[in-house]
Amino acid sequence: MGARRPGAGRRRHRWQGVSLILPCLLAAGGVCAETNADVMTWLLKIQHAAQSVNYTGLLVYQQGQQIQTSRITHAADAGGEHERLEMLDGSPKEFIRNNDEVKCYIPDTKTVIVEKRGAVRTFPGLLTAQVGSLAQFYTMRLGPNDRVAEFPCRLILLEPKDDLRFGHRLCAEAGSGLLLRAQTLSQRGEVIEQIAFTQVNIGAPIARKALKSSYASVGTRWRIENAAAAPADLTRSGWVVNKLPAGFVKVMELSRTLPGQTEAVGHMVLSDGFASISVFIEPPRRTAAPPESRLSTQGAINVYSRQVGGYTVTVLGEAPADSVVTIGNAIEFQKP
Amino acid sequence: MGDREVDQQLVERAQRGDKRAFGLLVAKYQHRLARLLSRFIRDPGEIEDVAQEAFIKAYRALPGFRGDSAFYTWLYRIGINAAKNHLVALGRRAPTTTVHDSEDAENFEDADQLRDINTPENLLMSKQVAAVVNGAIGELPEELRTAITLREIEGLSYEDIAEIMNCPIGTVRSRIFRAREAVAEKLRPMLDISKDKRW
Amino acid sequence: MKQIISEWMDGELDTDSARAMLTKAAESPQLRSEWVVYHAVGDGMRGSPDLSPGFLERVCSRLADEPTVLAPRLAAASRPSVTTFAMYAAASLAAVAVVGWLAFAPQPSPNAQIAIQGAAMKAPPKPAAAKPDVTPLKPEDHDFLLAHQAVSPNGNLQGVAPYVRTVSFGSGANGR
Repeated sequence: MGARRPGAGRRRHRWQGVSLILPCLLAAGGVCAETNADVMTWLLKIQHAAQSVNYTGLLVYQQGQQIQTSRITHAADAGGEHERLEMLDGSPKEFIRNNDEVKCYIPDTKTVIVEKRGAVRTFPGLLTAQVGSLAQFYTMRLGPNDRVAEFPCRLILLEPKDDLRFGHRLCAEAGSGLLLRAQTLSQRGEVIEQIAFTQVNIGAPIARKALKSSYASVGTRWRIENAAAAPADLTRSGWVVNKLPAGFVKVMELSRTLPGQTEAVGHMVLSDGFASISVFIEPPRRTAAPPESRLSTQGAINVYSRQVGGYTVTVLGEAPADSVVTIGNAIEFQKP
Repeated sequence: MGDREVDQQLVERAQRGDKRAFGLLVAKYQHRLARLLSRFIRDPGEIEDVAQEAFIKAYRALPGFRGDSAFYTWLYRIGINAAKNHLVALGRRAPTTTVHDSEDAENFEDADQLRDINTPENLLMSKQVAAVVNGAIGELPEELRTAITLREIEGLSYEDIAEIMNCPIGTVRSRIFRAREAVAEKLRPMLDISKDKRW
Repeated sequence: MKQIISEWMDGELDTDSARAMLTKAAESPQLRSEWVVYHAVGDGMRGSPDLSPGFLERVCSRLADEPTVLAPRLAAASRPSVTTFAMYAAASLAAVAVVGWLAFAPQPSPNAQIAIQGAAMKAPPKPAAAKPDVTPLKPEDHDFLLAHQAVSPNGNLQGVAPYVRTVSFGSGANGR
C-alpha cells in the first residue's frame, strides 16, 4: 500500500477512504477497486434479502461452549416486515417484530418488553455505506463458494487490518443473498461466535399464524415494559469522547428509557461502518452503590463500565476488549 | 455508460458553444457545490454568490478542461478557490499556507486549509425541499424506495441494483423512474420551474 | 420521454442514445426542467440545503452574458485505461456511499455527525485505568444488549437473529 499523505490521519470526514483505495489500486494492479465494489454489492444484497425475502428456518448460535438453537421466521408484504424468533433451548423467549416495533416475551417473569424503534429507523443503505472507511480498516474479499443448510452460498470476508476490530466471514445464499451463516473472528482468525442456519426454507409464503407469538394471548395479562428512544444531543449536555480508536465514529445519539425504568439513559452509537459499539450513560442511582469498573466478555461481545462524574458509563459492542476499554476510558464529562 | 460520460458529453457540447449544456451541469451540481461551500461560509446569500462565481469561472476555464479528471472534481477545486478568495476579500481569516495542487482532487487537503466553520448547516440554511422529498420518499412503496435509495444514496448502477434486488434491469428502470416522478410531482410546484423562464 | 430522462441522467443510456437525448434537451426547455426537478429529488434525499428560487436562473442569466466558449474539439475520446475508470469508480462509489451514510443517519439530531474532539488514533493507548479482570456478563447487561441490538447494523443483515445473544446468560436487571 502506498504511503499516506501527511495529515491524512487527521481527516475525520467522509472522503477519507478514497486516498487509500487509490494507492491500493496502484499497488495491486487495479484489482482492489472491483473487489471492494463487489463486496459492497454483496453486503447490500444481503441487507435487501433480510428485509424483503420470506424465509423460515432453524438457527444455531455458538459462542465458546454455549449453543443456542432458535427458529426464525420472516415475511415481507404490503404491510411491511414481520419477524419472529423463538428460543428453542433453555428458558423460553420470543421476539416478535413488526416493522419498527419489537416485542420480547419472557414467560418466566410474565413480562413483555416493547420497543418502538421509530425514532431510530434505519434505511436501506445505512449499513455499509462507508465503503471508503470499510476498505481502510478491513480487507474486503469474496471467497469461494460454500454450502450451508443445503444451499450453495458465496463467502464474503472482512479481515481487520488492525487489532481494534474483529473479522467477519459471511456466507450468503447465491440467488437471493440471504445470509445463511455469519462468523465473527478474533485477531488470530479463530471463530469466536457463529450464527448459522441448519435448515431453511427460502421464498415460500408464510402463514400469518407462524408470525404470531405463542404467548400473544396470555401475554396480554402480563406486565408490559416499554422501552423508548429518541434522538438526543449528548455532546451539548457535556459528554465528550476523546480519542476514539481508528475508524470508529459517532453515528447516533439517543436518550432512551430501558424497559421498566423511568429515568433516561444516554445512548451513543459508534461504528466503523460494520461493527458497532454502544455507550450507555446512566445517572447515579439512589439505591445501589456504584459498581467498580469491570470488563465482561461473551463471545464477540465485550462490556466495560466505569464511573465518570458519578455517572455509570457502560460500553458494549462487537469489538475486542481493548477497543471497548479505550472508548470507556475516553469518555469525559465537561460541564457545558 | 456511466455518470462520467454523461458529464463528458455535456462538457463537450458546452465547449462547442452550447451554453444550455453547461446549464444542465449547473443544475446537476448546484446543490453539491453549495453544500461544499457551506462548510466555510455561513451566510446563505454569500454561499450563493460564491457558487455563482465558481460556475462562471468554471465556464470561462472550460477550454482548459481536458476530461482527465471528473467534472465535479475540477469544479470542486474551482469552488474552494472561490471560497478562499471570497474570505480574503472580506478580510476574514484565511490560510497563509499555500494550497497543494494534488492530483487526487477528491483529497480534501485543500479544504482542510480553509477553516471549517463546522456549523450544523441546517441551523442557517433551510431544507424545505429536502423535507418534502424525504416525506414523499417515505410514502413510496418499499420497492420503489429501495431502488431510488440505492441509486441516489449509494450511487449504484442499474445493473448492481438489479443484482441486489434480485429483479430484471427493466424493473429497476421502471422503479427508479416511478419513484422520481412521484416525488417530482410534489416538488414541481415548490420549484416553480416554468418553460419560459430564461435558462 | 420522462423515463428516458431518468435513465439518461443515471448514465444508463448507450453513448449514441445519450447524445441524441442531449441534443433534444438542448432544444427543449420542457426536457431541461425535468432534468432540474429529477436532480432536485436526489439532492433532497441527500439532505442538501435549499438554494433560493431563481438561483439557477440567475446563473444562467449571467452565463448568457458571458462570451461564448469555443474550445477546440477534443480528439476522438480514446478509451480511458481500465485503471483510470476503476479509480474513478472506486472514488465515486466511496464518495457517494459515504455521503449516503451521513445523509441517512436516522431521523436525527443534526449533531449526531459532528466530529469527535481530538484526533483519531491508530493504536489503543494504555487504558487510563488498569484493565480489570474479565468477568461474565452481568444481568443488567441484558437490557443494554437489547438496546444495542436495536440500533446495530447487524439488524440490517440478519433481522432479529442477533437477538439470540441476549438470551444466552439468563436474566436481566429486574430478574429478567
